[in-house]
Amino acid sequence: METGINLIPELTEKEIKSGVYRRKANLAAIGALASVGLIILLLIAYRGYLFIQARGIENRTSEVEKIVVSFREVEISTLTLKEKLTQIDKLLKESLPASEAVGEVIGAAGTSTPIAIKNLNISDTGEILVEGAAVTSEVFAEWVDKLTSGRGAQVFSKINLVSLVKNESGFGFSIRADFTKRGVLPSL
Amino acid sequence: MSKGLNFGVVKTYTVPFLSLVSVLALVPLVIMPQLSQIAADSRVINQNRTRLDSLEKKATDLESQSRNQDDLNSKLATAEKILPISKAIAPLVLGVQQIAINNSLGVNKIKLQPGKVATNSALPKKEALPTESTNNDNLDFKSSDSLVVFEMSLSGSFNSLQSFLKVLETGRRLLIFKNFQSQILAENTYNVQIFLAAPYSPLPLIAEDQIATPLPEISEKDEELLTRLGSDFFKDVTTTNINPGPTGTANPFTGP
Repeated sequence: METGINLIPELTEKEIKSGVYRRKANLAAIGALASVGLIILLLIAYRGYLFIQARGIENRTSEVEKIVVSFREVEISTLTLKEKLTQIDKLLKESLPASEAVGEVIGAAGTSTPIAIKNLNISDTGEILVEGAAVTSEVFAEWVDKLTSGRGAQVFSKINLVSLVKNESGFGFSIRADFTKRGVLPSL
Repeated sequence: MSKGLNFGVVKTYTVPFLSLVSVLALVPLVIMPQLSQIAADSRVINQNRTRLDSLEKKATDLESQSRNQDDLNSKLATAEKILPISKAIAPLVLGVQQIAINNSLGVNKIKLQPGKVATNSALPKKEALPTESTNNDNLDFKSSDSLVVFEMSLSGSFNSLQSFLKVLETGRRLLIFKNFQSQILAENTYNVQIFLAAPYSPLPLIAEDQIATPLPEISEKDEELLTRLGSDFFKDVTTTNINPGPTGTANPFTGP
């Protein structure tokens, strides 16, 4: 009778499973390591790409800067012009039209018996101080009316009577007001 | 059998264990720094690209502006007359004086306010100040870096003063009215103390990265203002005819 000899070592089920796991684990580990390596390579390559891009931008910037510098006179002229125009515009719009302020005060003083203006002070804030004399109280009332109504109301505000004194020649007064108009350029 | 460390198991899983350690070390030590470096590089590249775009636009603008250089120069000359680059005091004072005379005003005095004091030590001591007191002591007028403030003492009527002020307001050198005070001298004749400011505009200051700063645009509003500044509405108020005075001789021993 033939008898067989089993040369294969007897492996338990546990040992077989363990071998399979080990192989799989090794493969997974090597795969993970390779992936990380690949990511690192990709990152390095991307940095290289960025470096080349940065160099390209740098070179182009340097070229364009040379062009810009070659037009420096045009740039200075344009800058100067713009700044001057901005300042001129601002100053023309914000400054007090003193000639108009004087004209309005003189105009208002043209009452039936003209008001005698003794002192007139005008500041750049538009504050006006008028010291004058009116022959009668009616003339003074007419002057106040001219300042506070019609044209006067458009250009004067905050009209305050500082003092009013009766004397031999009539009434001496002092009035403070604000001239509200600004800008010396006539509107188009 | 010991239930502690089983070297057999460790030996079995050496490769996965080392791989895990490597991955865990590589992520914070290599990948994360690379990523943050890439983020920083990208930021710099974006900034540089934006600057390059701005530079390219500026170069194009400058190129087109340079084709109209004559026009630009003529506009600048117009603006320069209104708001000069320097104080140019002599022609200004003579010009304003002439306007006052032309408007029947007597010019008693023209006084330039002191300019900027360089150091505190150069400031006059308070007790050394003149004791003469005027009505203008309370006025806070100082010549600033870009403003020549001067005081004129005039005499004449209010009508003359009004027309004088009107000419100044439309003068082809900008003069800003600051203040005036008048006192009656005789019937319809006043003594007027007037403060005027003549602004001037030094060259513009350059920005930190001027080369990439966009070229300012001369807008339609600016063009309109330029047209008005160049029109007959504005009159020249400064004079260029200044007597240079005696010039001396080359050799004082031989005479002229």
